[in-house]
Amino acid sequence: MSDLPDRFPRGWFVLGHQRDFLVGEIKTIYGFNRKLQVQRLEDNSISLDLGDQEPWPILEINQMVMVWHDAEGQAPDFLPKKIEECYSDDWSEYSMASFLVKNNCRELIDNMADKGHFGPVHQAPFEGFWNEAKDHTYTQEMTADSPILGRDLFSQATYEGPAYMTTYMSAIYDGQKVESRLAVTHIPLTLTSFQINFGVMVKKVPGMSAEDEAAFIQGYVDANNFAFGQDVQIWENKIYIPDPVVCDGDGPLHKLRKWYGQFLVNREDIPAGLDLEKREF
Amino acid sequence: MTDQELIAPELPEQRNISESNLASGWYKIADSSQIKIKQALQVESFPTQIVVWRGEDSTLRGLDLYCKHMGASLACGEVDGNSIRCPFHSWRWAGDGHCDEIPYAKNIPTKAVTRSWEIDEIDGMIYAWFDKDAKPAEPNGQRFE
Repeated sequence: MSDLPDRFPRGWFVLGHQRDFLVGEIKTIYGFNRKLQVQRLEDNSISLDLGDQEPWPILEINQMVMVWHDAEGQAPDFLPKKIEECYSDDWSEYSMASFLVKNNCRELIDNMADKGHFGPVHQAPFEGFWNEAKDHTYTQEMTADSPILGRDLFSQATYEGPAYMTTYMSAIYDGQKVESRLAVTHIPLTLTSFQINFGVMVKKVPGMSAEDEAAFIQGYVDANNFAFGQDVQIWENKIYIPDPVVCDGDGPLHKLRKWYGQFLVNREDIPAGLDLEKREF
Repeated sequence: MTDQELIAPELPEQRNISESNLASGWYKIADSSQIKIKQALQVESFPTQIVVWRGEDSTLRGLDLYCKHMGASLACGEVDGNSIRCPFHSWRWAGDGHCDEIPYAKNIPTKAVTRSWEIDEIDGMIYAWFDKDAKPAEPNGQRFE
């Protein structure tokens, strides 16, 4: 594959939910063409053993354990923003699901500018669709009616770097307003495979019994996993088109790919003009 | 997960026909019974991957497998009339290679054209015409099974 990137992107990558890292237990995680030995120490910190190499920065935030990958081996340029809901008893914890995809991890990114796929892939044609890029962040907002995730759906999704995306969503689901947060994260195994770690958390509904609440949350988690599986099926059966023919109804795909490209080059080679003022497409 | 996961899988790409040494002719790609009305079939046993489908009018048509828009496999799509609709963004492609509908666009881009393949059906067998230099099909050309 001649047009594959020559490296893994620079940024924060989620290794897993923090509850899955127990003191004393060594976890082997596959990523970046290697095995990563990760361990939570007695002082509750996380250590990452890379053999003879300098350890990579580790961060625990928003319930996730993350590692900073940087081909240049420099310190992180940014930190993901704290999400208050991740620390609130009014919300469920993230429920996690994993998907292994045989493709380069850049495939995930296209969705941010891809308003045309919501109808055919998710049976939820968009109503409004906005994009904005600023430094290391890229944001998509959309409104739609979804048979899977609910009507009057509003969603705001933001990438912080190339591999950590969080979404706030609200919708009317099963006659009930539901607010949820997604974490769409991935870790590349090789240049042609990646593992998605997908998290869903739901705001608890006041007055609901514990049993009903658990069923309600699980129902919405399942709906999200189903919708996400619809994307995975497409990613498994496609080729990469480096220079796609786009139509007047498509989002700013070329602009998005340029924004993503900043994480695949050394800092000194990042071109200017990658930002995109928020606008409707 | 096992160490096998660190073996990079090969990704598909639309194979380049200039790398083929096949002679010009009609190549058998399927039996007629394999493609019913409004069904599509992915064909790998050809110099490049193609999708072949049978329209409402019973006629078979063939295109490059992967959509020229965003690369999804058209064989995962649906036959709509005599055209085929991509599962990813619903671009609809006619048998002559032209995109003939995009549900969410005002205009169809003039560049929205893909490669079409001539398909023939005789005695319960389906053939696709191959010529490295894209010379038009000869009805009496050699047949390979």
